[in-house]
Parts: sequence; structure tokens; C-alpha cells
Amino acid sequence: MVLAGDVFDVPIRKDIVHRVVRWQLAKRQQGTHSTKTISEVSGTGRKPWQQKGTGRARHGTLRGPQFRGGATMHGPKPRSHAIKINKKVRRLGLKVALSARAGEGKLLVLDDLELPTHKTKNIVSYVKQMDNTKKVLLVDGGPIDENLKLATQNLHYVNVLPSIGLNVYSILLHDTLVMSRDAVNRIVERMHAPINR
Amino acid sequence: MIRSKLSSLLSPHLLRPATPINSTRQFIPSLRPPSPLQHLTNPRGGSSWGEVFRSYSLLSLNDLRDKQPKKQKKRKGRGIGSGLGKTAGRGHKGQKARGTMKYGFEGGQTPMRRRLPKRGFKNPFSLTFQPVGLGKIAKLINAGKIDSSELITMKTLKDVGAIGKQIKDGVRLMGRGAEQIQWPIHLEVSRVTVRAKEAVEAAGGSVQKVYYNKLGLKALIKPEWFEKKGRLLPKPARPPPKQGDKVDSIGRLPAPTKPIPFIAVEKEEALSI
Repeated sequence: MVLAGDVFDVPIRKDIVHRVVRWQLAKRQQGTHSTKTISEVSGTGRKPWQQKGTGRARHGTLRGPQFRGGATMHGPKPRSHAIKINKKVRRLGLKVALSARAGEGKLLVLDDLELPTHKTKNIVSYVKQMDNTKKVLLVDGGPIDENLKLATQNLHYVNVLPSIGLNVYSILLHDTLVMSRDAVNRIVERMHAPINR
Repeated sequence: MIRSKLSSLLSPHLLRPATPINSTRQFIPSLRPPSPLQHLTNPRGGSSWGEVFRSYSLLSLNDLRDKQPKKQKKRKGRGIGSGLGKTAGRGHKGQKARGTMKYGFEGGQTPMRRRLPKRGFKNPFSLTFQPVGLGKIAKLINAGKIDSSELITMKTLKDVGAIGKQIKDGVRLMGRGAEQIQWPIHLEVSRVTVRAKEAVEAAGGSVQKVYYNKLGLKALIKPEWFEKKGRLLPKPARPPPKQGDKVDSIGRLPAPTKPIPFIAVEKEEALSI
């Protein structure tokens, strides 16, 4: 089987992959950090003591930022950290990541990823035979079958994804990529389909 | 370049359609070490495809950077070592240190923007032309990018890169490098300078000043935009009366390749004499 050159053999663009990975990691941030400003801190707004006469420093409120129990100035508020990236750049990032793995020789394409049993030790022995890999990403075409899922569930160094879930961060995280022929076809089809506006 | 993948290097029994599940396990045994992994463990460049087994990775998460390094933000008032601690770049005391002063305020003295007089107006009908020197055209002809036997229009100049990305209202032919023009070339541009015209005619060529309005220029430079929108190319417009004596003729659409009218005019003159 010959792989499509415009998907698996594009020039390596580190900066594009950097942008796509940054986008992926930013959009998954929950952004549920929150602090109280002076209007939200519980407590009264009364002037604690008179302006002059007591030898103490002048204050208008006991909840200012310099006080213990006081407000936080310019503190974090819940917000979304997602950034926007052009669809074409996202697509190119995926192509670059796939080309990189193919170029290093770490891309393996199998006929299919069907397993007869759900035993994990088969997968373990198989991965042990592979040289120089620490993490393997299995990509299957359609929905993942139960045997494969169960067999790889308990291994932290093997992950399975359907082909729709293929993304740059996962590809970079795992040093070897194992795809089924169906997955390859689907990816190439998806890359060739025009981006709808 | 289309490269074959690893599995095509695997033993042929793999490339048969998948055998049913109740036969021997097809996943593990079909990928015994000899076939793919032997390839993976091959020392550099051993395979028939010339694929190299790399001991480093082409792309890994700890090796990503953007094209331009990100600039650090200036954080003021965060200690001596930062260089912006204590007074945070404001100097000592005074109104400016304690609050914001209005931009452009000069303490009551009439500010610069009120001292200087206003001048002029902006003419909405003025035309700006992109200059291109004869030397540049000569260089491109020498490099082989312009065909000097054909008519050189503003479209060829833009495609070749003589004027950059913008054509505002047209192209003006200037004389820098005029002595490099030694062959007859025929040009159709919006404006010419006197010296440039002389230089081209001395070499035996010709320059025609043609008029294109904005739409006509777009049709000249990018006819495929009209195709994509499903419109026909517009008819070239005649120049407005004010520009009538500054141009010789109306531009032709789509981009012409032969300086026909000029030759016809020459022939008429020759006949009348």
C-alpha cells in the first residue's frame, strides 16, 4: 500500500506543530480559577478608625489587598483559555505530525486491529518485541472493538483512538504510531475533503 | 514524493485480506520480529527504500518552538533585580509619578499639535502608481522570467514580481537602469517618464500608456476571480475626460499579448506619408 504523499510526506514545520499543540492544551484548560475582588470580599465598608488622631496608619477599609483576609487585586477570574487557530493550520499540523512519524520509520500500518482474545499479555509481549518504543498509539478506523479496548486498558503505555480522535498532541506523546488500513484510508479521505465554510 | 509504507516491506502473507478470527491469531504472529521490526532495527540506511532508522525523533513534545520567540512582559514593581522595582520606571515624585497625565499635554503651553498650521486636503480622485525601473525589467528579462518577444503588460510585471504585491492604480515606468535596455521591448503601462520612454524607443521598442479603471485592473490581473464568481470579464472602460490626454489608449481585456494598435497606428502613418 502506498501512502498519500500530500498527507504523509509534507515538509516538517515545527512552528505549526507548536501552535497546534499550544491550541490543544489551551482549549482543554478548565479555567475555573477564581478570586474575590474587594467588592466580593465579605465584610463591611466602614472606615475602621478615624483619619487623624490615632497614631495608626490611615485606612478606609479592612479588606484592601494589603490586609490579611482582604481582596486580591487583578486576580484570576473564571475564563476560557481557548485560542483560535485556522482550520487549515490545524489540518496541516496533523499532516506534519503524521509525516514526522512516517519519516522516522515509526509508523506501522496493519491490515486490521482485530484481536481474538482480550488478554493483555499478548499486547505486552508484542510491544516488547518492538524495538526502541516506549509508548504506542493504536489508531483504528471505526468504533474500537471490545477486545482491543480491554486488552490495552490497563497498560499506561498503550493507547487506542478511533480515527476521528487522531490529534497532534497524542501523536507526539506516543513515539510509535500503529494504524489500521481502514484508519489510514479514513484519514487520507478526511484530509482530502474540502473544509466547509 | 509518495513513499511506500512499512507494511509493504512486510512478508507477503500480510497483504492478503484479513483471515477470519477463528483461525490462528492474526495479530501477533503476522508481525513477528523478522519483518517490520527487523527493518526498525536496521542500522542506518540498510533498507531497500533508503529509509533511515533514526535514533533521535523528528518531532517530539520537548522540541517544539515557534518561529519568533515570545517577548517577556514588563512586570513593574516586582523587586530590585527586575530593574523595574520601587518607582517602576516613573522617576521620583511629581504629578506624573502619582497619576496619568493626558497625552500631548505640555503643562499649559500650547501643544505642538495646536501650534502648527493645518495644511491641505486629501484628494479622493488622486491616483497612485507603482513605480518600476527599466533596470529591474532588464534584469528579469536576463534571468529569463519575462519573455521580451511578447507584449509586457502590467499583469506580466505583477506575476513576475517586478512590482511586489500591490498594484494601486497602475504601473509607472521609471528610468533607473535605463542603459541596460538594449533590445526592443513592447510595454503597456499606465504612465511613463520621459527618459524611460526615450530609452525604450532608442532601443527600438515601444511604450503604450493604457487606461484601466479599478475593475479593469482587477480583470487584467486576476481573471480567475471573475470565473470563480461566475461573472464574465467586464468591458474595458474608456478614461474619464480628465485623464484622456494622459493615456494613449484603452486597455484591453483579457491581458493582450501583441501590441496590435500601435502597429496599426504606425502603418496608418506610414500609409498617409
